[in-house]
Amino acid sequence: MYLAIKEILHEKLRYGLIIGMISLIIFLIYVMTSVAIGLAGENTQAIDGWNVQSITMDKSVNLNLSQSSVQKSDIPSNMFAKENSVIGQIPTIVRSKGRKTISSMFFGINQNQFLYKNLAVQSGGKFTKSNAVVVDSSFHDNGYQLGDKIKINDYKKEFTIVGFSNNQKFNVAPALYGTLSAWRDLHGYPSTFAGSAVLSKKNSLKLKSSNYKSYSIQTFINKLPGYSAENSTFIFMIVFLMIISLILIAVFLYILTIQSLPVYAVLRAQGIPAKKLSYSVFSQSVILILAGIFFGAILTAILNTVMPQGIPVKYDFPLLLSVSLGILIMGLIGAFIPAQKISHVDPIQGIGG
Amino acid sequence: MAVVELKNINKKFGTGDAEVHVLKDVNFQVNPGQLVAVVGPSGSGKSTFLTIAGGIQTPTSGDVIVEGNDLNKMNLKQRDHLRLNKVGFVLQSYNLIPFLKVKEQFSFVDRVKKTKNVDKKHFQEILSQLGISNLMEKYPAQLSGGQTQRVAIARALYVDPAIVLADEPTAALDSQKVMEVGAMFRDLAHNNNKAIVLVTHDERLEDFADVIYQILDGKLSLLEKKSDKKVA
Ligand SMILES: Nc1ncnc2c1ncn2[C@@H]1O[C@H](COP(=O)(O)OP(=O)(O)OP(=O)(O)O)[C@@H](O)[C@H]1O
Ligand SMILES: [Mg+2]
Repeated sequence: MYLAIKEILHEKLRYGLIIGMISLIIFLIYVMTSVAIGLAGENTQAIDGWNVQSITMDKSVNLNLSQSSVQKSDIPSNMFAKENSVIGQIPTIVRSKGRKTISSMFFGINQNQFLYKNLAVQSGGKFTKSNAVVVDSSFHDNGYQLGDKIKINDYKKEFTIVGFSNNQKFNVAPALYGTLSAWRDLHGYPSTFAGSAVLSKKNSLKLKSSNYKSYSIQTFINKLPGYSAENSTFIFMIVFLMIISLILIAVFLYILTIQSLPVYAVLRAQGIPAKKLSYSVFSQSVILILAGIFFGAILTAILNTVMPQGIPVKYDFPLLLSVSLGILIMGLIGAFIPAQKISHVDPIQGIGG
Repeated sequence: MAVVELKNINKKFGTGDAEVHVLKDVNFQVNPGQLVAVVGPSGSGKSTFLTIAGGIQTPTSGDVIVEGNDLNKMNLKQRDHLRLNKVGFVLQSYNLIPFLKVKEQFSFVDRVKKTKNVDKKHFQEILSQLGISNLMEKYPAQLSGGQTQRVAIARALYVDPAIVLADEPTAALDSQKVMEVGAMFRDLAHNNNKAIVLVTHDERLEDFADVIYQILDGKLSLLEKKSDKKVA
């Protein structure tokens, strides 16, 4: 440790550059991870807010909620509203004069059931009539205000925004909540349709027909369009970056070690045990990586303050911590070859003349 | 009893046509309290001889015995331990650690060495004899050649070694300093009972030696023995 610190402090420029490189890589890994988490979050925000275990829907639609529908006649009359909530879904385009047109997702919910009761509204209030909606607060970020009249798809009647709710994105699209009768109207369904599916706090729900099946909410999430592909792309990129950082750190340490070989040879000639010197190389790489993590985190924090709104980033600290740990382990693996090299250095290499 | 003894040492480098036979049947010994000078022209094998005597290199054949222990029979760790605790090297190309201050060049071994070093007062004397007391805070890059060399000598003495092996320790020094360093080595041998081997082609150092060997073309021969009382 002593030697490692002394050397770093003495060769400030050289080690500064290396720490700089490592910081940039770690910065990149942090940002990628946070964007991945943010994007995954925008897929599932609304679902996470529902806080449910299962979804019961048409078993023939391959978990595509828009394609599913549940008939009123199939819903048991004694269904417990505190645990089960009918939901109707339809993809929508929202327009309003002087406002941005927004692709979104409409959800119809029943005012007697838990989804409505648990809907958290940050400004305004909940809807009570069929022509009123609560919308994701990103509408507000795009200029929409309480009381705005909006047109949904090509439906003839207008709706009024009565409330904004935070973190209501579904599959990256901002959500609107309204009544189930509005949902039927938007679809043009007759009143025999209850909704698209039934969400439940229990693991499954038995409906009156065998056309339906209960799925765990995670199964449903994994089947969201693009969700799994996006996630595996990010995981691939992050793992790839980790491996690159491993190679980079290993190469840096190797070059540094080769340059310092005569110094280590002198120490060996003096009788300093090889183990001590290997340990020094190891601790040097730990210091470099910890410094890299520190400055990488600072860069990430700086980026966060200048990051334009709308880019989905979410800093998941436990995850970033385990990513950092992963990088540290990679670095230690990377330090292995030079440490090995040092432990076998021939003292005679330190002797000139 | 000899503290370092070399028996029938041969050292060859390379193989086949490229083979060079650097040391030929070298026999040598040095006792505690003795200052030995080994002289010879450049390329005659002086450095090779000295590094073999100190266990930094291994001979092609022959035995090196340090304080009764055969180096051939020691493992790597034991040889490290021996060098660390018993031998002070002044290497020909001083080899200070570039990122340590002068005082740290000395004290660094404290981190690994269990046995005690030369006592503080004596080391201060050595530093002032060498004229480097005021250089403690400097880095090697800030020292002149002669200063570097004297720091290297002090580093070798810091560990209070029983054996001092010095390769051209005065190459970068002026006549005045050569005399001072020569006298210091002689004192260390005679008053502190150290076994000191100086490898040199500096004739001025020969005056301080008890025994002078010559190495010519890889063959070591006794040139002069001055004080019988110290020679076994
Ligand atoms: N590792 C090596 N490989 C091949 N040849 C070597 C090696 N080390 C030394 N030699 C050769 O051995 C011979 C003696 O070298 P050595 O360094 O012992 O000489 P020296 O007497 O110390 O010379 P100088 O006074 O110039 O320091 C030289 O011819 C040198 O080229
Ligand atoms: Mg030499």
